[in-house]
Amino acid sequence: MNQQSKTEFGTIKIHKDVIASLADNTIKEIPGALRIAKNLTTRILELITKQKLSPSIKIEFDKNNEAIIEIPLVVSYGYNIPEVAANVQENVKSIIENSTNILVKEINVNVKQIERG
Amino acid sequence: MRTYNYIFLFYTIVFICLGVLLIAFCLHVFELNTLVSLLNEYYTNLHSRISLTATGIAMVLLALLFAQIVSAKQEREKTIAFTNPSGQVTITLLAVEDLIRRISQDFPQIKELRPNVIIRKKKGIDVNIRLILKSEVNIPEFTAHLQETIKSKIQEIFGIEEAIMVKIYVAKILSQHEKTKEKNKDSSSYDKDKEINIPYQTFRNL
Repeated sequence: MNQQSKTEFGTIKIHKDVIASLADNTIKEIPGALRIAKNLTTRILELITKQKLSPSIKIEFDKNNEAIIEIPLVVSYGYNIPEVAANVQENVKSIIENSTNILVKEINVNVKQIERG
Repeated sequence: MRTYNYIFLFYTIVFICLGVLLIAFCLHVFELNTLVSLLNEYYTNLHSRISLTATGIAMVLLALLFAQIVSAKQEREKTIAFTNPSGQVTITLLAVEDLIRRISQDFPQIKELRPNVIIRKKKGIDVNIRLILKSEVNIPEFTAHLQETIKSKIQEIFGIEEAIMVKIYVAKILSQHEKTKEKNKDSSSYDKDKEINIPYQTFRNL
């Protein structure tokens, strides 16, 4: 669940949810990217628990500890989707690498829906 | 072997066992007394009930997992994908259908539009549209304009270079009678809104 690094004083663990939140907050600021699409399980769990769960962003690490991130996205109507997706990939990659020092190998954007934003 | 293959195998075995049991029951292979005592045992014994409950929960969870895996697999197949230097971008066909619905909102002549997007291997994209029109329009002109708009919007917004074939099926054109019926429905609902009683209104009149 966590990405771990060692310093001279001890270890630093960064939870996957932190990376997901960073990505979520970055996406909100990108024009054309409306929000993270929620899957059915998250929607049901949110209904039952009545709490906002962490965004449905999948994060995995490969052998070299590089992150592979999958983002389900809702895009605003009228925007050029390849441009929005490329912006999401660039911005999310830079914010995660700058904030956590975790190397990002891939950011796969999955456009699920189009809504009027 | 993939996870869904295991689950598929498990449910195949379960269904075969269930089928065999049903056939055996109908052919009177088991004695009724044996069945009743077995049922009685499972109904009253706490350990048996717990193990049965656990089995039931496990089966429900497996079924949900199976459904999720199958739906995710189907969804993965129904996507348009391209690769950027930072990773892959996939667009679900549902998103393309969403876009077409949004485009249709700019045409006041359209009462209802149902899109169905299909990807043809190596041949591009097929967009099938079922249309209900609000008013009598010049159908060849209107549909040609709609086809062109949908095609250009998809190419512009998704950056798709493949050939896009837009097929339109005009299912219905609303008649004047149907239109007035609809208007009446709208106005009657408006009247109902008007008739809402305001609480304590009578106090003011007094």
